[in-house]
Amino acid sequence: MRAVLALALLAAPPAGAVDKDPNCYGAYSPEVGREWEVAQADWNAMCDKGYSASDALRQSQRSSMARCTARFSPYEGKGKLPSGESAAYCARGSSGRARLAERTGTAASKPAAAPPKPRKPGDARMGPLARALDQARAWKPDACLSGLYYFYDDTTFITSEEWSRARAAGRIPERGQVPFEEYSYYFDYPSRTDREVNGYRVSYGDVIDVNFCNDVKRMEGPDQTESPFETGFTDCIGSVPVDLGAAVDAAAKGGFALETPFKAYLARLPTGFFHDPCRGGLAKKPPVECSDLRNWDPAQLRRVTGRPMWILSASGRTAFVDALKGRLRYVTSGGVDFGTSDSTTYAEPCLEDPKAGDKFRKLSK
Amino acid sequence: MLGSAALMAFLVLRPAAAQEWGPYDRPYLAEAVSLLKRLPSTSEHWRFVSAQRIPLQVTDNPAEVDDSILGAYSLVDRRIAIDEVILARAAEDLVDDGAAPAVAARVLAWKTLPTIVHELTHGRVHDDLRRLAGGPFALAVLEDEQLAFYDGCLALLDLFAEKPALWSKERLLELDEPEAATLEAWFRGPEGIDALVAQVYDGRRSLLKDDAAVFRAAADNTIFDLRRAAAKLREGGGAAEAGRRLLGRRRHMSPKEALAYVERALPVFISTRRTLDDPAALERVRAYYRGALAERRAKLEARRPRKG
Repeated sequence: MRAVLALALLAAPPAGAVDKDPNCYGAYSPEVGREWEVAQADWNAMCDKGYSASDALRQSQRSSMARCTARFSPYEGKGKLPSGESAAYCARGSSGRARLAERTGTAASKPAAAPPKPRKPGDARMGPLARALDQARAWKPDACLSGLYYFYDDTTFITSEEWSRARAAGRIPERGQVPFEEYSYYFDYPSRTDREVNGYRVSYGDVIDVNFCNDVKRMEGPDQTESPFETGFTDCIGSVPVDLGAAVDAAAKGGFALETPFKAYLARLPTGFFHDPCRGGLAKKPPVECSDLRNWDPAQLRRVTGRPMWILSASGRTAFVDALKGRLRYVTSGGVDFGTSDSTTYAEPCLEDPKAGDKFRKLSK
Repeated sequence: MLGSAALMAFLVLRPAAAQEWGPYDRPYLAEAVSLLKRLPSTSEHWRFVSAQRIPLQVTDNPAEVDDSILGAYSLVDRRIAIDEVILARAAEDLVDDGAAPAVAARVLAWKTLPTIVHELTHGRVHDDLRRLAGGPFALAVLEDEQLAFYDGCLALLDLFAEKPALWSKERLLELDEPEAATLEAWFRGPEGIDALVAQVYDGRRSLLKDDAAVFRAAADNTIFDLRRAAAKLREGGGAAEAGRRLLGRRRHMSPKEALAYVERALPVFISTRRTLDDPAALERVRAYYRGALAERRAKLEARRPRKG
């Protein structure tokens, strides 16, 4: 056997999987979203937790009605609404809310946050690789880029800024669509010995403040830290000629829908990266659900491993774009998650004081 | 030109090659066979291939070649696999630079012939040892790789003498890296290639220098692992559960294929273990390596340009 490079592979493996209802995800529609004020990401999060379509709908209705009642029931005491009317109208969905807003004179309140200018993932502030590399080389002089994680979402939630404004104005805060972007560069170093297990991560992007209401802070400088190697980011890839924007374009030309939330990874993966975690005892969540992986073609996967590749994941599909050639190599069903990011958990709704405790619904993406 | 019957013995019928490699496959193999047949340093390899009908297959099957392995010889199945993915990428680079597909295929045959020779050397050595030991003898020893590197280097020197421009700086491909390292090591002096092999195969034991007990233990471990793998596979656990350590890249096989492989491999390693227990047979094996290494080193030194 003639080995050119010896590649180490970390065996990974998954925790017990939740039984998911495959019909749940497809049951969402913009109409349902408008009727019951539920964003697709929130709906998918319920599906991820094993909700059936009808359970997800009921949960969305309950949440919407709770928010609506909290908003309009104070007007019952002020004589603007008969007692019990807010709950009755809230149960009718968007038409009921519109009627209540009209009756209470609170209609047409504008969202606090201006609608975001549409951004193509990666357009915002990608690119300070040189700066990240400088940071990493201050850590180890021979640091080299071994991976990139990128995440983009434009989820709908109440920002703390809007909450403050609404509180001052004595009105109910509005949810707004807020873009959120983060990216982390990962570094290895060739002089590393087997005993040294830490790499280096330099992150830029937005941070959601989870203390109370959601608050996206635009991060100014990089956040860098020494951290254990993430599986998949343990092999130097150096610089690549194809940036994320070009990879996104190549995938889009091949029919890959760039919906949010959108994730991207740049990595040079070893052959068994996707399959090995689904073999034998599993200690860590695999990058692709083992059930999805059965539909992935092993021969195609050979083509997307062993060289720097952009791995784009959105809407339950994954595209592989060659980072050296800019060509779309493989598109398949199933999402990819390397487990690189801390799960962002934030509180919703922020209509109550933090002391309200369990009134704060935990959402996780 | 190669006779069609011989050519067909060499070309393996394969499932539809991936579309990107399909057009290159036949011209690549034809050129490789043609070179093997006519180069001065590879005539013995050609005799071995044609007499033993050793198949050469370009494949994307990760159970045959995975990660960045360009070529592999299976001691158990006596065949050579060349990585289709690496070749297809190199072909794409060449075509992107303006080469016609047929030219790209031929260039790749030239560039990868040292690897084919390297793998065929493993096959030749294995066949010679089978005759000397009275049965299959399959151990991962340093001397095997030294011989394979020597023969690959001799082939490279032949190729380089004919078309040095193929290895000019602007025509180097990523897959040239191992050959560049080999050539550089050879230029350093008689010990250069041995130092390179020791570096690439760090930790691999030498049959000529290390105690036989080390190899007996290694063979015992291999047999133990194969039996465990077979047991898991028979229980219906699948190649997956037999795992990376027990099956290596064969974990990519289906459970049925993996079990069949393990059942073919076990007798090979049991025979190897028997030879290690037989001092006379082991000495014949060691003598073979000593002689073969000395012969190849002399050939390599004869190719060294004379000073002055």
